Amino acid sequence: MKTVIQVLLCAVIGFVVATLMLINFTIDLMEYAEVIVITLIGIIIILLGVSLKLYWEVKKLYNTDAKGDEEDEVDLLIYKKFADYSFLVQSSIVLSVLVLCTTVITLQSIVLTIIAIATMIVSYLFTIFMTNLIQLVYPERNIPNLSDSKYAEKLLEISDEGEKHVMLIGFYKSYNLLNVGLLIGIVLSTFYSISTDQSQLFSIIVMSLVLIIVNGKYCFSIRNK
Amino acid sequence: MKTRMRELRARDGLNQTQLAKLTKVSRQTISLIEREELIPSLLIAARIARVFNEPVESIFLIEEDEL
Repeated sequence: MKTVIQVLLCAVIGFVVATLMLINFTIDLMEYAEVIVITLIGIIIILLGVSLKLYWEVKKLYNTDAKGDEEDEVDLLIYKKFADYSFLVQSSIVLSVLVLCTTVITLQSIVLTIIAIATMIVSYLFTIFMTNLIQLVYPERNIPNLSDSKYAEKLLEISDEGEKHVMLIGFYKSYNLLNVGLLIGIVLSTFYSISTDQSQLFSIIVMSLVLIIVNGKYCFSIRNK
Repeated sequence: MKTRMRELRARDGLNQTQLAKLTKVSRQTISLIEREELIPSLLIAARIARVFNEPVESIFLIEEDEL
């Protein structure tokens, strides 16, 4: 079933790309740069606002005096809210970088560039708040510092087998998605280069190199064990 | 592999968080083992058995075709 869906998805993408090429469809994103930047800043502000709300909710839940099965439900809720918080903050960091790059490339007003830098700093501060919150909620756990060069190794070290099991499934799914996502990115960049006459060759080479490095890193990691 | 953890927790009046603290693992691990989505290591199985004061094989029931 999964393979059928993947084949159908690829067929739809192929059909859309081929049709757009046949009708000589062109889109120049430079024209919409300001709208894109303002929309992205709006999205980042919403993401940070929701993250802040989640932060206070976790703090409130932590101070809840629950007993019996309710204690398990509170712990599960805290865990889910942490995961949501983490996703929202990561997304806001990525979008902040995107906004900053767009303002620099399209030479927009200095105000928008400053706002982009500010959102990036605020998003980074939110990741520090997250680490502090984890340490508050789980004081018995020795959570490594985000700036630690061996953060990934130390985080795996303090995780128990259930957590590692969940992370492994999540990482493997993300790894597969990254492979497919980058391949789609290469195809779309090629299409964009042809349709707009603006070469995306550099991006295509970078994406291809990332793909090779990521796959190489994974293969060597499992090969040498 | 089947597990009687939920039944034994109810018997001893323990929630997942309390059992997790007693066995030095996360509540997530207890939940995964209980839902039979994770086979615990020998060490964790032994810790769980000690908390319930039961032999490991009476908590984790391995079926004949799994052996």
